[in-house]
Amino acid sequence: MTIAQPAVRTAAAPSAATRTVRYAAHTTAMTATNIAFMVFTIALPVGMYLLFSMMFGDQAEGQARGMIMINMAAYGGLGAAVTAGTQIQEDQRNGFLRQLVVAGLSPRSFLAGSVLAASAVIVPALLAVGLVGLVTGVEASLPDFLATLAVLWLGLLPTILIGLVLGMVLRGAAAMAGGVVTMMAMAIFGGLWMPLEMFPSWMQSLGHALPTYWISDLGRWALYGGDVPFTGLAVIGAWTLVLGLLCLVSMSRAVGLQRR
Amino acid sequence: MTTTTAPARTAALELRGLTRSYGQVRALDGLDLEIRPGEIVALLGPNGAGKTTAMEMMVGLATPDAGAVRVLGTDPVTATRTGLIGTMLQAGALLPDQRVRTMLRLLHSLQAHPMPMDDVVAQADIADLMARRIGALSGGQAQRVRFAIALLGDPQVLLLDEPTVGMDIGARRAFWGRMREVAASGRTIVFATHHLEEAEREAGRVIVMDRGRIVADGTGPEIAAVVAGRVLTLRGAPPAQVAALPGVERAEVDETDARRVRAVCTDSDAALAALFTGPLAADVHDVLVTAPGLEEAFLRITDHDEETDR
Repeated sequence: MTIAQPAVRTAAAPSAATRTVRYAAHTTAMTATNIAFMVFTIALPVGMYLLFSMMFGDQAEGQARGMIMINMAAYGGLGAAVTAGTQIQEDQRNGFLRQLVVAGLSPRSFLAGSVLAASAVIVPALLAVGLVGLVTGVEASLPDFLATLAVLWLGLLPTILIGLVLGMVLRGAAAMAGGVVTMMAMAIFGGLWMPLEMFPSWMQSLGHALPTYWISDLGRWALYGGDVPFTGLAVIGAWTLVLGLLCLVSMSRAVGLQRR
Repeated sequence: MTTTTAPARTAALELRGLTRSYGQVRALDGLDLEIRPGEIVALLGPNGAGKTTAMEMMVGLATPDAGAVRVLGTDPVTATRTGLIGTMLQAGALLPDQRVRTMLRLLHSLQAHPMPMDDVVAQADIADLMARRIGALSGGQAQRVRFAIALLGDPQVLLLDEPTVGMDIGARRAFWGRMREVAASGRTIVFATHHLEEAEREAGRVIVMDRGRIVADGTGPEIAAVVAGRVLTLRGAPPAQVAALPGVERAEVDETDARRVRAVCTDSDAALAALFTGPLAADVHDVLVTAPGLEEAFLRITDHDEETDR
């Protein structure tokens, strides 16, 4: 019997970076077409923005409205980031990561692609709250407005990693519940729903250690100016670093690669 | 009955001294195996024999404690990344909330040298499933999708871990029909199965594994010959007298019929000749000679209670 020689393959295999981007693009599309996810992550913060801005929007010569927009956009982004991170990770925990790896994606590319995908799916929530804010009276120049959204978007990176880590550490329903609890705690103690000044001092100290507080502060800085909040950059940077390392360590233990 | 190995060129799969323990359980215990390009090989063995662990090592999903795996001359991770090897994972996880098409496009986009999607759809016969939600598929349909996943990378070495689990007889027959078409293109195919007749029928070479080792390696008929020939059943004579016939290895009362004697023969012709020319000729009736199938071979080979005799 003659055996067919393997076909000569001239085209180069896609690089790790290409595979990362392709995985991220497909995952983004899958999440973006998840109607429940999009409605939940957009409608809730937009609704809350409308409620709060109606109640308190005119305070501080209208700057309150801008702050409410920033905080609700951050809250929406936070919810999307944590949910997406948890969900993506959860799929892999079921063992799908094994299929991805056998298809040629390295675990590290999977991690990078997951962060990219989650970064993409938080954009609609940020945009939606921001646009509704502009329409309902937030006063901002277009560059300031875009800079604010960009700052919020970048500042949300550690919350994406929180979602990924939660998905790695917790299983199934626990991962989802853990995501919701974490998201609520970060929103409340970070002062996204109510100004942190309304809380007792120990809660304020806690809040100052959370990335959410500083995401909001960075947004305020981008929209209304003032001193660059270096403390905030340091806190967000520290969270990103620690969570990033946690992700890498969990990944090197090959979470999701073992047989269930 | 060991197959003579004279590799004219690089082995499709070369496993050398693989060991792997999971806690107290020794999944692989010094596994040596060489599979040549174009071979169709069945891995046969009871649960826990190490088939799945061995396959996971061939694609880099598991690493051996000791030993090495080469796939077409390279390591498993490189072979996976460059699309040399494709695999149908046992009960491989899918994305239940997604449609078949969406998930396949994702996995297709990651392949080094993908087979055109239309060809995958045709070869795995999943055109009717592409728009379906994966969570709503039947077990057999999901297996067709997993087969498609294995084909996406247009691999030269194709691993199928229990490919027909969850399929009814019709689906199983259709599956092997498609598998033969895929095999005709000269790919090396290794499949693990519990269906012994599938191994005998579909594979040119059958490897029996037990407790992390290879216990037999040959063609289906060769494996069957391990039970040393034929089985003679008859009525009308006591087992001791049947056992005394030439060419009979042992004889005992049939488990399912107390009046029937079942004799395992090394030479059934000699046994029959002696039977009909000797004193038992007038008494025996319902004489039947059968060739034990692979199932019988399989049971004997992996019968742990008897291994000390062998």
